[in-house]
Amino acid sequence: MSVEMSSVVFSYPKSYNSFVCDSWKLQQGERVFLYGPSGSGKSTLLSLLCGIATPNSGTITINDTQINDLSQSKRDRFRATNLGIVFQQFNLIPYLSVMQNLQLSVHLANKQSIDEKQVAPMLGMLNLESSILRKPVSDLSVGQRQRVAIMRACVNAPNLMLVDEPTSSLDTEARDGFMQMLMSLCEMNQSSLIFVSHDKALRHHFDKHVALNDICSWRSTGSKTVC
Amino acid sequence: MLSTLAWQSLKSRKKTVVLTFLSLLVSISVLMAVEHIRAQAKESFNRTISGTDLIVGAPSGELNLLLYSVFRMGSPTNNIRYESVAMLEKQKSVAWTIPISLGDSHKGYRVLGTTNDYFTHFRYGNKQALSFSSGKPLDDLFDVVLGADVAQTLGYKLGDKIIVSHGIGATSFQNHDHSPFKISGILAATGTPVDKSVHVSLPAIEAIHIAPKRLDAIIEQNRFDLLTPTSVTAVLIGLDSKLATFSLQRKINNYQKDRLMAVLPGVAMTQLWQLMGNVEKLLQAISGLVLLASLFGLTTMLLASINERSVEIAVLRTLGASPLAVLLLIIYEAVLITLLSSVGAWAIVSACLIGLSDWLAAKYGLFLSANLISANMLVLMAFVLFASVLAASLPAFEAYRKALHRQLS
Repeated sequence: MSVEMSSVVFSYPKSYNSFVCDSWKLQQGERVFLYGPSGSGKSTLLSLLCGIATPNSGTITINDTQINDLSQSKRDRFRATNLGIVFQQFNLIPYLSVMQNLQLSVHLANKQSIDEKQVAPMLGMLNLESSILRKPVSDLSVGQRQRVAIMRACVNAPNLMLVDEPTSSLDTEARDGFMQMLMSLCEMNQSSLIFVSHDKALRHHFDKHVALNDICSWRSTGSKTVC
Repeated sequence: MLSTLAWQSLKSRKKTVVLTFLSLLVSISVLMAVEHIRAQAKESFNRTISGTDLIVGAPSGELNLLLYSVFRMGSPTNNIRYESVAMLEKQKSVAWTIPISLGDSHKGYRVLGTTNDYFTHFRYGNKQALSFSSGKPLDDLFDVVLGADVAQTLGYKLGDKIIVSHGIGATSFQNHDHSPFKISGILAATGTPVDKSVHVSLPAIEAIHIAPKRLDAIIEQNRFDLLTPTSVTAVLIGLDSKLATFSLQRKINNYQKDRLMAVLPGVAMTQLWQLMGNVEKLLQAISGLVLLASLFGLTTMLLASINERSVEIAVLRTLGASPLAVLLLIIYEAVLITLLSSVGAWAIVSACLIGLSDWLAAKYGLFLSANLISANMLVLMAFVLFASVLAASLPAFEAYRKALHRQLS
């Protein structure tokens, strides 16, 4: 089992609304398209899955590790080694070179340092020149940045990839290319993939589709609703 | 990896970082310079005279007498009669006397009229005697012995002729150019005002001050006895036994035929420290405040950067960096800037000391070593680093808090 959530309840401090997820499972190697409109709790779900937020009650298990029971530092370490995360933006440290970004990720996962040769296959799959490795991220185009972001997410060969609307700033053609590269990299690492988007156009890349409000929802827990 | 990250991060914020660096550079330089001069001034002054038990001069302040007779600072208020020197010599507890006569200069260096006893009995540092690096003591009327710095700076060699002028400025209206002196000896360096002195005989001082025609006549007629001095500025006295110091001092102070004052160099030196102690404390306080201001600048710079770096912090968290790692990153940056500033300050202060050592020695009688590294200085630097960690703790904690509560995307 790759991901298992059961009886998860989470609320932000000072909020009377709770995010509730009764039961949801994802098999190892499965790739799922998680569809949800804005405000449906995509960010909250991702924060819970990657261990930056912890549920008030319930359990979240990833690769047989119950992450809500781990200490803060262990959760951080678990995230570094087991998860690959790609967001809409802010995936890379702008003043570091591409290679330094990759090395930082490897370093935080406590793994052996990598060199340019080891990332060459990924460069090929992502259609990037090897000269890009020495460029600072701030010099890259948006499309290049998103591809480098996947590369960085995959550099530690994670078991689970969490991807949040990475294509919103790309045009349609670049978007399809991007999706294919993402899929082949997941294939290579045999990672499970949770792809979150409000854009249904992307779902044909996936076998499995889930609507976010089928697995979780917001419930009011107090008399007063705070928006 | 943390260091690469911190370094690149600082580089990406060049402008504010460089300004903070400069402000710390200036304040740490001030701190280092004050600490160094403080420590070295004491040592420099203490090593100037040793083995002299009493200094006798015309009555004025004890400190004043010490300053002009030993450190060549300030001007003597009055002279004492030459007969008094003979009287002092005759005292049975006295082992040696060195009469000195001040008031003339050569190109800004003080001229010291004395006897050859000066080269035999004067002691400095750890009871070290003066030694000649070349030549020999005074022999002829117009012989002159130069201190090491005088010879080096002015490029004089043995046998060169020089002219001595009245007054103590570097330029003088009255050049005693009738009396050319010949360099008979050059002393080895001592790191004391001796290096900055031009030594001549007591009769030579008289010769400088009489009318040229009369001097010619004296030399022609071989009447050198006419050049016997009538007064000297001060007398340094060494005793056979330290026990006699106070009784002799009392005797000199009560001497009826001349107005004399005897001081113990150690006692006068203590007065000097008491005087300097307050200045020292004031300087330390000021340099401390300057450092404090810079550290506030460091805090402000880091704190302002935390906001512009929220992206960076979010990325680090996504990659699995703990909030503690983010906190350490900020502290590390502060320490890095402070370390660089300290190294820069060390280089600047060392360069200044090398560049200004001649001027400081000539003007203030301070002989400072250019070596800044001492146990005290290391303690001070450790303190500065610790203070920078403290200064960084507020922004670091802010970053920590941000990292902890940061929601993704």
